[in-house]
Amino acid sequence: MKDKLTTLEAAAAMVRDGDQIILSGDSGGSPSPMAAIRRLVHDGRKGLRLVGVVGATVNADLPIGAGAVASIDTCSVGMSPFARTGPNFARHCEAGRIKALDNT
Amino acid sequence: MGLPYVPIVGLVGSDLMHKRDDVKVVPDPFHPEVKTAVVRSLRPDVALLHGLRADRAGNVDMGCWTDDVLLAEASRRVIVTVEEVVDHIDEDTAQGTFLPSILVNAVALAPFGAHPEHFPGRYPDDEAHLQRYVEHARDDAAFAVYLRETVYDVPDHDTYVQRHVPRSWQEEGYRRAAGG
Repeated sequence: MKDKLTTLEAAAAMVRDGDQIILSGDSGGSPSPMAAIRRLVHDGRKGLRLVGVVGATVNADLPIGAGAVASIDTCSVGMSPFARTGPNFARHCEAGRIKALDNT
Repeated sequence: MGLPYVPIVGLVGSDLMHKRDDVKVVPDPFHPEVKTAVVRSLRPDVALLHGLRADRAGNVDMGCWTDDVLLAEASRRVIVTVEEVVDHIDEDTAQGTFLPSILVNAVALAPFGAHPEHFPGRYPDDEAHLQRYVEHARDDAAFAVYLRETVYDVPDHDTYVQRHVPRSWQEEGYRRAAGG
């Protein structure tokens, strides 16, 4: 049997700058992988291309706010009831700092 | 599914294909006079998922009912963090969606790994934390403070849990782990 158990640090190191990453969370019904996302930001990953299924939440808003994201493909970045839209997502979009691809 | 592209009903006439290079309008092969929009299949480099339990072989019990098997099947590398590592997981004992080890490249332990968001049936949204998050996320300088506190100045996930997950949740977690 191959042992696939590793540390959060080693798992996060499997992600490279510029990777397209699809995230659990939001409409998929599952929890967001926030610990892994924080690790990617901590380690300075850049240019990530995120895909939200179908929408995204803090799972996208946090790495966008950290400048780790080049683009996001999603229908929305919702943070109800705390904010109508992810504040970092909205600000970075309006400033043209990320490319937003609508997949509604 | 291995499909190179997928036809989508209803997009023809939309401006979307002028904005995206992964959506095109092509003649329907069966009715060439009809135009059909097609989108390129998604083939992500990485699926990053959080589930309930995993074993060392990489079998995962997502702990809730999710579409995440599709995300794993589509992706080149699949990384799953979990609340608990256990001896053995199979389809019969899984409490939620079962992700077989053949789809999984790596599993890592991250209790409270969805915080400040919720884990269905296990812990709720951390409302106080999320309220603070949105207040900080409104401008770059304030968000830099949030990131320093929760990401950059935090050496590892255990330290994050100690500092940022409500103490009462952690104590409940310990009781549950001890079978209490």
